[in-house]
Amino acid sequence: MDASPTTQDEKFAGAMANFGPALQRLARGYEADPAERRDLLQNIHLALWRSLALFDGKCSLRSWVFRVAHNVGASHVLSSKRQNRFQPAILEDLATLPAPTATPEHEAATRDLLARLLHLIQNLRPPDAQVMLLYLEDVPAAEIGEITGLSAVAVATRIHRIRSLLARHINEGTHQDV
Amino acid sequence: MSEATDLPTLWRNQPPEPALPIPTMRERAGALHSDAKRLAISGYVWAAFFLATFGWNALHARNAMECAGALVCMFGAIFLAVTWRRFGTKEMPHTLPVLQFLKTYREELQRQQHMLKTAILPSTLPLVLGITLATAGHLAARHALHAASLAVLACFLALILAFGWIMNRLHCQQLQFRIDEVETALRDAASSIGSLP
Repeated sequence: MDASPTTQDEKFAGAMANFGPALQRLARGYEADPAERRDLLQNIHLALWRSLALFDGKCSLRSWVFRVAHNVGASHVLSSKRQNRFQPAILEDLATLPAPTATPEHEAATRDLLARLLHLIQNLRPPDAQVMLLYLEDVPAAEIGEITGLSAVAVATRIHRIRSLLARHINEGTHQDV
Repeated sequence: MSEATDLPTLWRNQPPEPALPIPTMRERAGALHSDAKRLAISGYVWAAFFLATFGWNALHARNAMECAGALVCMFGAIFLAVTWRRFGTKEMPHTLPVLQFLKTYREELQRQQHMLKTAILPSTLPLVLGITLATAGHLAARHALHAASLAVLACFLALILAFGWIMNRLHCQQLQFRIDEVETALRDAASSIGSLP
């Protein structure tokens, strides 16, 4: 807040123009409840706006935006766990999870697929969910490492596991349902 | 649908929602700032209240013991204000990588817990000692008329101290629960790294 407000606002407007929709998707990945998700998204926006006063361009704006967003998301998950609202599953357990039941028959296959994907992400452990969300946003592995703090090898391994998981869980479900 | 090509595209093609307008953002940031300020000021207000009360008692003390009791209580109030000031929650560095952020978050929670655990005795002991001295001094002066009201005051302050101690313990427990959650999150991250082939 000590930087020039105009510059801060301009930076924020630029970040929102480029990454606004990605932040909304990220919030969807962290929170299933719509009201809670709205609050989470607003907290992300607020934290991002405040942080941009300190943005010095030493890393890319995308890394900066995703770092702030994932840190707020991680805090949100921790706070949800404190209220016993969050029950994450580990990657290997997801194969045994039931598919979401809220998908009506008349909904399009795309919607069904997205619901499955969201269900999958929301049930991952936070470090896996973070890597998956960034992978889906097409962020390169090296940058995922910068954002999460994981090593490049750990990121690569997780991406490999995530791709197998997606192929197994999503596509198998699609073939059964569609 | 082939997963490798379609899922990331499908994910990125979700319909957008409206973002928070910048004026609202400024308003909320201002509100957060005011809340933090108000919290910091409330500690000083309480300390000033205690200082004024015990200062008045010290000035109007009938003997040295009563005066000493009030002065010790004043010292306790100043210590409480300083502790409150040091306890103030730091702003979390959201711009760090997630793992480092979690470690910093854990350190901050541990700092707060340590402060709560270590500050309770030094901050309550002067108050207990001061109140005891003041009560004894007052009784020694044989002000029978005031003895009853003084006893009520002592009971009231004892209740406040007991309440403060219980709240301190509860807050410590809550902090421990949060520390455990962060530890679990960090262990989750580490275990995934450790499970590499």
